[in-house]
Amino acid sequence: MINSNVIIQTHQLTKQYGQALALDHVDLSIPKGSIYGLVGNNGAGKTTLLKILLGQVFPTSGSFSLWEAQEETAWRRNRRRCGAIIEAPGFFPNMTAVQNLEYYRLQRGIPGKEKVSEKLKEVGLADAAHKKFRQMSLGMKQRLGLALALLGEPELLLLDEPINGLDPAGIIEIRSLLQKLNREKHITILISSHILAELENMATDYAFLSRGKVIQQLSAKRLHELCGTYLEIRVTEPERYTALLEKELHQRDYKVLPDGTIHISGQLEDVTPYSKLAVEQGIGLLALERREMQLEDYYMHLAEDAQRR
Amino acid sequence: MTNCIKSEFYRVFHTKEVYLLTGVCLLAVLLFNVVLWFMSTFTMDFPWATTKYVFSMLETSMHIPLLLSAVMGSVVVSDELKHRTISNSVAFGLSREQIYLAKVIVGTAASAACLLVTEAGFIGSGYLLLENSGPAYTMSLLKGTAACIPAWIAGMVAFISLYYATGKESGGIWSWILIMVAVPTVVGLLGLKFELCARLSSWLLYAMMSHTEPGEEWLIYSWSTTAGFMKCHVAGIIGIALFIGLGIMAIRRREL
Repeated sequence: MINSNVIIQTHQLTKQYGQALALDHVDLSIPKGSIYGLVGNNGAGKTTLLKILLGQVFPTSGSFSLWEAQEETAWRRNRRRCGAIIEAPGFFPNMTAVQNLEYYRLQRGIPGKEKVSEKLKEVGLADAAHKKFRQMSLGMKQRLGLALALLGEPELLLLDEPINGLDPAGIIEIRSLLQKLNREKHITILISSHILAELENMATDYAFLSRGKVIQQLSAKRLHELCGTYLEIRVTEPERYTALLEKELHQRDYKVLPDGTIHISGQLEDVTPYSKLAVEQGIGLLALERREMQLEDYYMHLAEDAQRR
Repeated sequence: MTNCIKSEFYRVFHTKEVYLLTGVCLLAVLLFNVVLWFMSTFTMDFPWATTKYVFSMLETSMHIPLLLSAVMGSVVVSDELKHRTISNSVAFGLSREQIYLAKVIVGTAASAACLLVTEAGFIGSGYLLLENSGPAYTMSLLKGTAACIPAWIAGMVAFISLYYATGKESGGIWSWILIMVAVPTVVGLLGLKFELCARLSSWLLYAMMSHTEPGEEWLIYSWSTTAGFMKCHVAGIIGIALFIGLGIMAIRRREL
């Protein structure tokens, strides 16, 4: 049963290259109107997932739906409603920005020649309109890729590392543009990035991938709850201290890292009971610090957990 | 499909490669006629400055345009897999078959334009600069050209298909040389000893284009007889069909 509020749904999607599993039975649901962040290290399977959705590579097994479409002809029809940048933007090196966009405008049957200059202006490339692609900087190429993605007035944008190569001002500009498109034109955006802080400022939903597997899917709201403040404690006897934590303070929401560092999450306005516990029980307290969990830290913890399992 | 063809036309005629290829071909044939004219002007009894000689020279070299058809194929595919431009087209919902067929159609049109300019320049400059040997040789050249057109298209289609099959321009070049030149040459040589190879060789495009034998008055080409002319067309059309089949299979399977 396809949910009409879901644009993309994958079911046990798997891609194998030789012996390597690039995607391992991935189940994902991308809600309509969301900015959906795909978070993962290199080789996590983000690009492979996007390429399968766009028909560039073929899945080994599993299925997916793009809007209501569940087979090749219907996928192709619905891909016309998409805009995409996958890996480095691909253009003809000896053609100018205008010529490259005009080529795709004609190919996709998009009416109105003025669309090309409009999109170039929208992504801040109006001045480089007649510059050949091979002479452009990485940032300019990235902007041209975005102009191409926006050319057909898409309802869904699939963007693979779209801010790669942009300078800090460019990153802010493109991020604002994407947020504006999502807010004003209700464009759903599926975006992958290894610059996790960038997604943190933009995404409404997340999926964390590691070694081809989805290790967690959650909303930005839930992530912010999970990424809240935590207490980092280092003591001389971590095992004894955690037993006392449970017995004396009834605290079970903690994690012991391989180096013995203890992370305690939850309501931590008053940290005195934690230091007092160590001192009263004669356990050496080496460090006690209140910390803010960033998206990056959260992902690292998740990935480490997934690897241990 | 129409949009795909339009965009290919736009690209091919907005980049310099087709103009460059046409320019080089035209320059080569003009230079040939100019050199002969120059020689006849300054050499007494120079026998080669006639339309009979130059037009026949081209007619015996119909395998050269076959080699150039691979260059046209390369212009048309424009290393799309390396530049990842075909990935964009697929991502925006175009069918791989449409992309491939648009390239074949536009490549054929561009080849026709290139051929028209080059041959018009060659015949025109021949009449202008050299001694006119009569219309028979011009007609023979035009007949030879007409006979070879399907084979030249097959050569271009073969390059496009082999490019998608191998995934690289260098792969396309080497496999094209192997299939279109090396195999016919070897089969042709074996044909000197084995009848079966000789019969097979007579159907292979490269061997067909370069085959000549002495006749009573002048040279006899593969297309000199009506049956031979038809055979050239049939072999060319079979080649086009086979390579289109290979190309569609290759582009359907290729991961981008």
